[in-house]
Amino acid sequence: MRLIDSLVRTSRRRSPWLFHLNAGSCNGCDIELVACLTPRYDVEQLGIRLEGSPRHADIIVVSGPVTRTTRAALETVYAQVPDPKVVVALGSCPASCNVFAGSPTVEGPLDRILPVDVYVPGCPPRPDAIIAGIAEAIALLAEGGHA
Amino acid sequence: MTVGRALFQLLVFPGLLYAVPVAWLMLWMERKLTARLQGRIGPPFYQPFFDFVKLLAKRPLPRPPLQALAMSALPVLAVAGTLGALALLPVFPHSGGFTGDLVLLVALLEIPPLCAVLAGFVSRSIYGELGATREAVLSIAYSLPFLAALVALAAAANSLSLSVISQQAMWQVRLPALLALALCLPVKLRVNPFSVANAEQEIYAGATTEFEGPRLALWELAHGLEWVALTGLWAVLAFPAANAAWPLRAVVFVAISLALVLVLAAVAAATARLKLAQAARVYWLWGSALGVLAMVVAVVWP
Amino acid sequence: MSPVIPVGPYHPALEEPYKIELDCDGEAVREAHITVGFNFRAIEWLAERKNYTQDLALVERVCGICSNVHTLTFSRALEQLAGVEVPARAQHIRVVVHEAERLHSHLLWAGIAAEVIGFQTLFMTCFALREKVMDLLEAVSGNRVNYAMNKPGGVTRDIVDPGMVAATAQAIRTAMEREIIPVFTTDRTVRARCAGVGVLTRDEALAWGALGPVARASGLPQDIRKAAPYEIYDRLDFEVPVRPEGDVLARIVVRALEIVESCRIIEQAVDGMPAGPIDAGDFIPVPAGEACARIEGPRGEVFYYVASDGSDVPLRVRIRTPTFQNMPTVALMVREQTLADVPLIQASIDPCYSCTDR
Repeated sequence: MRLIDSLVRTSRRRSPWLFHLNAGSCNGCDIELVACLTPRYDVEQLGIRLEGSPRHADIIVVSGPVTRTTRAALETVYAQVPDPKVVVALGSCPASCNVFAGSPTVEGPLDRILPVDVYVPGCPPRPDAIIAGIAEAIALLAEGGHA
Repeated sequence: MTVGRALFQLLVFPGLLYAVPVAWLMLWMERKLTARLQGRIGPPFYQPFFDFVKLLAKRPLPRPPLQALAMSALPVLAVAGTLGALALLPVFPHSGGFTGDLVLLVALLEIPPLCAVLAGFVSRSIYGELGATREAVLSIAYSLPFLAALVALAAAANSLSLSVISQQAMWQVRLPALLALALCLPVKLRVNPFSVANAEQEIYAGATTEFEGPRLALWELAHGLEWVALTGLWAVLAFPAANAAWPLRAVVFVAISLALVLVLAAVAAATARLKLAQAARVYWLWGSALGVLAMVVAVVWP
Repeated sequence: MSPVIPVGPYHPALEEPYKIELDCDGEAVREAHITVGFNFRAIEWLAERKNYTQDLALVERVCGICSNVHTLTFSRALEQLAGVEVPARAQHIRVVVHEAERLHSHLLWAGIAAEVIGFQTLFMTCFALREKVMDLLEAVSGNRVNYAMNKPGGVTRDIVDPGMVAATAQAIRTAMEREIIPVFTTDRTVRARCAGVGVLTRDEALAWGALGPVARASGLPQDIRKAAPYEIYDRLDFEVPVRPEGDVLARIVVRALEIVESCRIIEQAVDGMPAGPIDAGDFIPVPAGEACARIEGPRGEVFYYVASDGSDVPLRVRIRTPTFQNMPTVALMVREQTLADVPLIQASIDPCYSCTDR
């Protein structure tokens, strides 16, 4: 059993698949996340893949201050990701609503809606910082996530 | 074919024990070569294995019982069908086999696409349905050249036995038939330029969009096994040396299979995805032309 | 099969949340309905409640891809209100950053276009080249995204190494001409996917008020940099690429040639950069009045209207972005096309929904 446990833990560490959800972001964080996939940063080395379907994902990466119109989708997607899962708040918007704080159409910050595990601050964070944040999320995932 | 021999072929070589690690190896090779061609480092060697274990260890989402059953059974069936097809490959001369195993092989190779079509529909997602529809349309398009090539080989060898077919020289038929089969490989393996049924930017993951955790793990495994089975079939047909010693045959079989993976990955990396109608036309036109050519040669040039 | 296929609001082909609902007959699209508003953060409402300095940071975040365009247009509107002349060196620096942003935006778009037709290798090639632009922007402004370069009256940072900027622009131009343009224009699978797809005729482009590269790919030679030159554009030598075909391939070609032109503009702007101050000094709060400013962003004309009552908070800020104008043409272009073309056609206008929704 211990062998299987450690194999599972290693696999989770080596194969984190992301689902990215833009909850009213300005694209700044989103494009830096895409830059992580490209030759200079190439996160596939770490086994990271950006998945199109939330059902395939392990880590939910949320950018943006959570607008009214994206909140329902956010909750649906969270329910669709199978356990264990980890939520990463990408950028300053999901952390604090950033310059959009006080807007009547913003329902963030993200921790009012979902349990957030890792914050990656920055407006937008550099790709290096995003990778560091995902590495933190991976460590949580290996231990079984927050679920 | 003795029971022991059949079990060996199913469970050891070229079946389970050989095919599963090689499936992961091929999935890795495909991803790694693509990454290298794109100027990236790419995934580590063990990547497909860890992907598989991680997906197995995920908790499945709650579903209605009948749907859950269907969604679990279909990928299992796809894996089983592909393993069965692998067991029939006549890698070694006189390795048994029986008259008509060609027909069984064709039927078994059709199981994974059929399961994928059903999977798309039982998952009750619009993208799953679209993927299933595309899979079905493509399967009609590539079946003609695929079957024509195999029928031409059978006709030329005057036998429905795979080991007889694989040991006869008959290059005049074999060449167009192998070309037709090679043309069918990218669409059966869902890679560019024919990755229409799993076109991520159009319909998510197609038929497997709604599958999660262990169920998805089995699909990934079935996909890897399809790589082994289809490249293996091609390798067996491309090396018809009847008198070669068994170690040589085994080595050549593996070498041709792996080389074919590299070629397919390189072609995939250098092309865009075609549309459904464009892809189907390639098979109706060029695929069928090659298949028919093989058949004509088989009949007029005995 | 259900007749309505939703694409979005979350879909692998879409960079941002918005929704196209397709009435389909098998794979053929009959009718498309577009829903926007997922990114609505009430930026104009917020802008009327923050002071001008805060608004500069706010409008920078209308869009993370063309952030510089927004601060530049906003600053130009304030300069107009105050009647302030921007120093020559600041104008040159503004043009360098403005064009560098066009470079990264167009390369980003080329990459996304390659990605949606499943050509991942070309996507990677475009993004590898884009990293060079990002390095340039980072060297000039200190940031990769949201450069914070513009301020009312000038720029916030000087260009200390003009030689590096010119050399990078030249390297990008060479790479474009040698690597990327040939693949997009000659690769058979790319042509099969892009030529004759999503046609917008010249008349339709006029009637629907298309802007920027979308209009130019439909034969309309329309560019604010030529029509109403701002900063130093009247003194620069550059072409405005126009194609008559109106299909997706024409939009690719127009943007690819614009990248080459932008590199030439950067080289010229750096070359002729005079010495002097980079900032006209503080002039906020601006006097009462109203002003409009428009510039040619990567996606087309960006328009700002600012009304002031003389206080440090604007009375009204109105932002109109090019995607707002171009978006309706998508519904027109996807008609009678196949489902597989929809992601490409919607991407071909280079949509920016965070700009549109604000």
